This record gives sequence, C-alpha cells and structure tokens, in this order.
Amino acid sequence: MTRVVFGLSLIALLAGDVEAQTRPASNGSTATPRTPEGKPDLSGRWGGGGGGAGGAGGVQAIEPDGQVHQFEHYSEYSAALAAGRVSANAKIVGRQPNYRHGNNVYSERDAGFTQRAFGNPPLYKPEFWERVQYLDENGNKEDTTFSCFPPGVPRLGPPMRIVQTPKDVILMYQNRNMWRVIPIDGRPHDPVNSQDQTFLGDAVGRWEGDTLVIDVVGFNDVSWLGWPGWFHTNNMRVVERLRREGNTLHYQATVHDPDVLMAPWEMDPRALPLNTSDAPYLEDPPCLDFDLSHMLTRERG
Amino acid sequence: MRHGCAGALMLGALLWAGSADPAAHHAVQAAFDQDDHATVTGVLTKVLWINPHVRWFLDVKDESGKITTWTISGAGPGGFRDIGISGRDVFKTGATYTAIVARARDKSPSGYVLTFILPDGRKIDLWHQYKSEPGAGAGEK
Repeated sequence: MTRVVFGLSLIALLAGDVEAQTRPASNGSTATPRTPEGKPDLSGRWGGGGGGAGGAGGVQAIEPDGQVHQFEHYSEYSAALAAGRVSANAKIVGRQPNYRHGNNVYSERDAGFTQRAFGNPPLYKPEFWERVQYLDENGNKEDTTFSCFPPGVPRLGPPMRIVQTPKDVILMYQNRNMWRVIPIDGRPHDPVNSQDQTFLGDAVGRWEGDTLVIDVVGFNDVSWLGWPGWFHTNNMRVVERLRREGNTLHYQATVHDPDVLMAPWEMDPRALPLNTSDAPYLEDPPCLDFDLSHMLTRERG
Repeated sequence: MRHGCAGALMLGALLWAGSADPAAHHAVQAAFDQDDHATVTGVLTKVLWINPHVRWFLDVKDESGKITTWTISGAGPGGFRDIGISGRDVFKTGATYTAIVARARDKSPSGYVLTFILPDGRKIDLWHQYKSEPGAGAGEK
C-alpha cells in the first residue's frame, strides 16, 4: 500500500501549527481555541481527515461450514490465516457494509435517486433549463470529473486539514492531493490571476467577526457545482465561510453566477468534527479513465 | 445505551460529512452488465492502483494459444485501502489469477471484478454479493 506522509508535521512546525489546547467553557461546551492575535484557530485535521482511520470497510472470511470471521483489515485476516485460526478454504469477502443487498449497483441507483429527489439544486434561469437537463441526462460524457478533471471550488467541499498563520490559511484536500494557500492579510484579488480561468480560482480571505470569509473569482466554466448537470460560467464568484465552534468546523459556500442563476446558490452546509487521529495522511492516487469509451447506457450513480 | 447509540450515529454522520470525496466515478452499470458474468484466467501483467477504479491487466490465453489482454476494473483505491488490501500484498504480477467479472456491455475484453481467485486457490469477493447467496437481491427482479 502506498502511504504518503505529506510532510505536514514540518509544515505545521514552520507555521506554528501547534494544535491549540482546548478547555471547557463555562457552559460545559468546548471553548474555541484562539490564536495569539485573538482570531479563532482553524488549524487542525477535520472530518475524515485524509484517510488512515481504518475500520470503514471490514473483511470477512467465511468457512465452508458457514462460520464467519470478521476482521477490520486484510492484514488481520492474513495474520489469522498464518496462525491457523482461519482455514485457507474460507472465502474472503471484502466489501463496504452499507450496500443494499451487498451490491454496488443498488447503491449507485439509490444514490442517483437520492441526489435527484432530495438534492439542493441551483435555480437556473428558464433559458438554461434544457441545458441542465441535457447535461444531467448525458452526465457520463459531459461531467468532466468522470474524465478525471478536478472538481474545482466549491464542489471540492471543505478541507481535511487547515494550517493557519497570521497572514494566510493553507487548506489541504485529500481529493487529488490538492492544496490552496489563501492570504488573509487584507489584500485585494490579484489583478491578473482573478482574470484567469482555473478550477480553484483566485482566493482572498478576511475575518468577519469569528468567521473566515474567502472570496473566490477567476474560474473556468469546465467544473460543475454538482453532478446533476449543475454547470456554471467563468463569471462565477464563490464566497466560502469557515467558522470554528469548539471542536467543530462549519463550512458553507455561496455561489454567485448571475449570468445563469436566478439567485445565489447556497451549497448544503457541512459540519466537520476535529479529528484527533495521528494516522498518516494518505495519497489520493491519480485519476485515469478507461471506461468512458465502453459506456453504452446513460445511467448515473 | 440509547445516548451511546445516538452519539455513535451522530459521530458517524459527522465523519461522513467530513470525509474527503474520492474522485468521482460513473455508474458501474453503465459500462458493465452485472447479470452477464465471465470467468477468465490469466497471468497478471500489471496493476494500476489509481482513481476512479483500480485496474488489473490479465493476459488470457485461449485454446489456440492466442493471448488476449483483459482489462479488469474494480472499486476505487480508497475502498480497498479501507479494508486493508493494497496492490502489492495480494496482487503479484507474473502470477496467475482467475477473475469472475461482470462483462463489458460492448463485449470488449474487459469487466468489473466480482471475485478474484488467488494463485493459491483462495477466493475473494469484492463489493459484490451473488444472487444465489442468502439475502441477496431480496425484493429485486
């Protein structure tokens, strides 16, 4: 298994990213740690935190007589096999446990239905409804993430690791091993980069009270906001808001794209718990598509 | 106990909400027919531990001696990592493997793996449950 420690410890040391000590507030909840400058300290490993936590799947070994051995990882199965606690005749089953009937086809169909039935679609102007429908129905060909383009902001979602300094915040994502360094020293958008057409855009941050507000412009029109054909233009502006309450990071993004949207789109907010794991950060392997040329249906999942 | 369960559910939901999205992947069903299975045996020549789906390449020899390279697709590398299976500890190039696959709908020599039979004969089902298994496909056609 390829495991990459991104040298975050060194980055953290250089940036003064010593995990802030938390202490109980007077009301019993965890107080929000603050930097020496008095700002909320967003530094930390958040949510899933870049993998390595383990235990998400599980391996079974099923003996011919039906006895089932359950393991967290394949290595535990291998050790049991070597020790004779599991026979070599036992069938090994490696799969995520939450598939309906254990079949990923059902899982994908469930996900497709859920996304369409309970999604939070942007409100497009009527003249773009046909385009959205076309992109949704032909997403297997049109959604560029399927041909391994980056998801871009804000589809990328919240970071899994933040390093905060007085002058900038470093946001790190397991997805494609991407990172963003965002100045928070009050500077305006870069006059050249803000006219560029990129997946991550030109971002500048500022504090509004205890909320870090990141303003992002300079996008391309290649990425989408979401998989049911939710496209955007290269005039899009995204405003991301990050706020720490105790050991929870709140992430919210608003999309302004008046060329095609009737109103700003509020992405579903996310709340990420502080992840205290010291497991290695895992590489997200590169993406290479082999399947698009073989697709004969337009089914999504 | 009730609070414990609720807490665990909430923690699970939060961890899910915070998990980094893997590289997007298309519906397996769009390219591979889960009701059309093939069994191929060949020499593993290459493994690509990549997104959005891990790839294995099997050189399969037919009765006339002609070799056809099958491209086998599987779950994403993150899924394999979660259950502790990596490219090197289970899949060794040069060894002979058998793959039971859902065949490509275009009948090209490719498929989505359901089961691997390892060189020592052990079987491993991956993200799949056969309809003949207890509880599988209940309520489905």
